[in-house]
Amino acid sequence: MLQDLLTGVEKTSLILVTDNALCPGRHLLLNWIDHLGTRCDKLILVCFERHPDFFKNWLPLDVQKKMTLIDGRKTADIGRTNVDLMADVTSEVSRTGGSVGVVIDSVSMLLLVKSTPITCSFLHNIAAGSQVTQVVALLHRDVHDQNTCRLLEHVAPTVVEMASTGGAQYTCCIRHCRPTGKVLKSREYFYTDDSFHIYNFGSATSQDGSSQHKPQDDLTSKLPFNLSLTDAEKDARSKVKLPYLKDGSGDSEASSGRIFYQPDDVDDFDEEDPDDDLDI
Amino acid sequence: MLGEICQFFAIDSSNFPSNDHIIIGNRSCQSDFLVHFFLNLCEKQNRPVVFLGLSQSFGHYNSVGQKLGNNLGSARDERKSLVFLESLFDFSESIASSSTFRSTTAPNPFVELLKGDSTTLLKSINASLETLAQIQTGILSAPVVIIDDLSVLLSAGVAPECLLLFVNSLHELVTSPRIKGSLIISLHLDKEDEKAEELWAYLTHLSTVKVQVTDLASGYCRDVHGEMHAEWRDSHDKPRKSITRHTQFKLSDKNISLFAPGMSAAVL
Repeated sequence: MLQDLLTGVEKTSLILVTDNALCPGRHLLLNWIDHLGTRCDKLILVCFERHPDFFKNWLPLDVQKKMTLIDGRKTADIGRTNVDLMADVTSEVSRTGGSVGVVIDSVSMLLLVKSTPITCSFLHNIAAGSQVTQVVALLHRDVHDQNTCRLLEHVAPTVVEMASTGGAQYTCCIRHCRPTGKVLKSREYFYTDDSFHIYNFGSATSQDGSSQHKPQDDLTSKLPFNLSLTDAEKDARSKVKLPYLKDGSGDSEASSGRIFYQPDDVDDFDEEDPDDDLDI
Repeated sequence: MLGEICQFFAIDSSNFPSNDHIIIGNRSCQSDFLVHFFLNLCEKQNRPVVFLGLSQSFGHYNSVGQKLGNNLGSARDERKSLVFLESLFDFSESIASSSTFRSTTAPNPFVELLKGDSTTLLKSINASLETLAQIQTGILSAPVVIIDDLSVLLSAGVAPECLLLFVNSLHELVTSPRIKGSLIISLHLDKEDEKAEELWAYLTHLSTVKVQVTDLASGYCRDVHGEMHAEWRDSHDKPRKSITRHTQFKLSDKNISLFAPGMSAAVL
């Protein structure tokens, strides 16, 4: 689903990427800017933590041309100018005729300095704009308490939670609420190459399953006898016809079966129908 | 001492830090050596330094510097490559003046800071940077601003929001492409202090290099004094793969010995 969200196949107005210090989400955000830039006519980037050049240098030239950078760090006291920042973004949006994408890195500063409801309404108001295709915001989970994070997650229809990282591999949990109201949840992984471009998406559940079974495999390998089956053996086992299993081919034989009874000489065979008194 | 730590960081001692934002988290009582390391490293490079001393006076840093073979006094008074802001005294004065009498001389930046306005303090740091820029003594002219330590302000009652804005503005000022300087901030951390932890968590995301010094998890040891974790995060102008390093250390009078976890000579 991450790939669909990234490329715009799955439509959503506001995406919240949540991360922590151990698993930073800024590299995912970079890729998001790249994809969003190709889809939209204009891109507005609000930076609070890194210099705008950080994003600009990484992005391809055609996306760079579409970008408008708002340096949130410039305002020496963000606390006072939150309204101005909001006005900056909305005026930039209205200035362009086509579709606009907005990316914020990150909303944590706003949350810390201003109250949570103000930040929530700020995000909601931008995302509700008719020209705005998508708003992507980064949130640091470890900086805020759980209630603040939950409140913000309620505002966003889509939440990508960065779960873990191991070198170039990242795992994330996605909760996506479609405009129709259907809620989809999934756990997915992706890789980044040396230039931090995302590739090789996939569902993380199967991977996690295999990693959970690994210790068991190690145990069985130490046994003096064989407990595990090879694929060929598993295949052969699945082809074995079990004697009492009712499958399509065995049914005809069962229906044609009869009971032959040969009474003994001494057998007191009753000719009468034993069920004669029953009303059947 | 300088050599060992440089080796651990795997850096070129002649041009580090270069446009970095380094944060030092002290979860141990014996971890001030990193501030001295950075101050003396910059002094060796003959680099312009602005030092905001909030936890000790100049005499303390000077005597440690002399042990490490540096004369911080001459750097401050003769070569003028070091601007030492005696913030410890200014800050205590600001607390005294706000409660008993008002100083009529130059405005004390910390009085403003306690009221929630960091502009005056920022201006005084900016003025120091400009003074240093005129001198241009060093081989490396990019200045370094060191704050030791920020948690003093937090525990003295400065609002965390105000400190965040201060750090954010300072970060913008020092590491901007125009100045290309470095910012080093040290903090004392205590698990029970939620505000300090919140500030530390945010600074982690803001920083480019994070260094954390902790006591040994297994308790006090005579031969291993603590552990040090360093992490390189995204730099200011381009993304970077995260690199982590981990070591244990033993402090002696003038030196520090670093060794891989579990490889102390006392253990082997």
